[in-house]
Amino acid sequence: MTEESPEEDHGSPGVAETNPGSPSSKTNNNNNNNKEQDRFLPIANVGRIMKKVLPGNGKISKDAKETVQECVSEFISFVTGEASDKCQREKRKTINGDDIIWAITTLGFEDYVAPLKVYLCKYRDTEGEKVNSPKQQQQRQQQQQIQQQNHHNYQFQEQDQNNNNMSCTSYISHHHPSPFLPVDHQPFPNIAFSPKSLQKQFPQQHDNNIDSIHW
Amino acid sequence: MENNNGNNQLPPKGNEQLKSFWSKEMEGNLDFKNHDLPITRIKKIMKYDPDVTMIASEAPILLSKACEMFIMDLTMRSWLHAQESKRVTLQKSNVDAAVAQTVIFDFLLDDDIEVKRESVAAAADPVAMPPIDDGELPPGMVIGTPVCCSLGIHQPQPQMQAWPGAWTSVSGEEEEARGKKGGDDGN
Repeated sequence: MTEESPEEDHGSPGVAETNPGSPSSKTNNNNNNNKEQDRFLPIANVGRIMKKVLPGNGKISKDAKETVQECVSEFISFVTGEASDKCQREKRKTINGDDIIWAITTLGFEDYVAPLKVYLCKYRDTEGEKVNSPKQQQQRQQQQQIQQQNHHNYQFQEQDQNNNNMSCTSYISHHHPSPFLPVDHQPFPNIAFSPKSLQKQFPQQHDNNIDSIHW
Repeated sequence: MENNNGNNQLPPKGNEQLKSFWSKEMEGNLDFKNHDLPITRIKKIMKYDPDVTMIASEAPILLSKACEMFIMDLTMRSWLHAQESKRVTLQKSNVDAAVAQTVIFDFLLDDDIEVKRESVAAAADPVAMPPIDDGELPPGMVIGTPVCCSLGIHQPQPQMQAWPGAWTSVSGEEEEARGKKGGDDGN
């Protein structure tokens, strides 16, 4: 994962990403220009994604792209703020993938949730390949704890049949025997947490009966 | 049961398009090394929130996928409005109309001064609005000051803000003029 940032970033990276396909709509000195561009995703990337859902003859005006650029930045801030609030309530410092999914669910984007859960499960499967690194082991432990929360989320979705089926499918496939199974199981004995510690970290699940940890 | 109020407001054709869209999304791109959106930029935007301390590596990657779906969602709804106008070029006014008409996009109405529900519901004045938008706000509307200021860079384009309301008839001349201009900007 060459583009992946360190597991936990304690400071903002000093390197600003430059994208030739992202011309600024406003002529300014470099500092202001660079700072303003950093608040939005590159307009070329946004335009390419917009084209995916338009027919072949569809065109997109530049001001439409710019409006969507602004809307996406608002979306990121909106979701991040909600996830951050949740972390603070639970006395946690790190925003993780499940916080993002929870925030998106809470904010009304239910249609996005099922694909995101599939995506997150697959991503974590990929991450499982890097269990040798101590940092990855720590992250792995964190993800296993989050998995319990995922289990809770899946139960919450039982009313929605389609999503439930898809989620269950991905959840089951996640636990199929895989070539990584022997490697995945190595660090588990080192993880020292119990259902009590889980309840401590996820107070809202106090009423749930989590008898066993699945992996 | 469909609990997305926004979908209920769309015509049946729109619903079918959206549903097929979500079905395809389930098969989505699972290549984590090639992102359609830059992860570092997303992370930087996340960190503008002073309350955000630490971010797990999976969070911006997951959010990039969510943003991609958001962009496609918003674009599809905007395109439905463009089709109502028999256009092949997506305009800013189509995006604004989709935002105003979709409940889950309400968060954009509060902060983005260029997208106002009242302006969509009422017939917009064809004359370009003055650069200072605060004066044009309907009575009782409150804008979050920090975000409003940060989005001020788009005020130097007042002519872009003069667009017709989604549900009101507009003069043919203006429609053609806007379409022509849009065609020039399109790619």
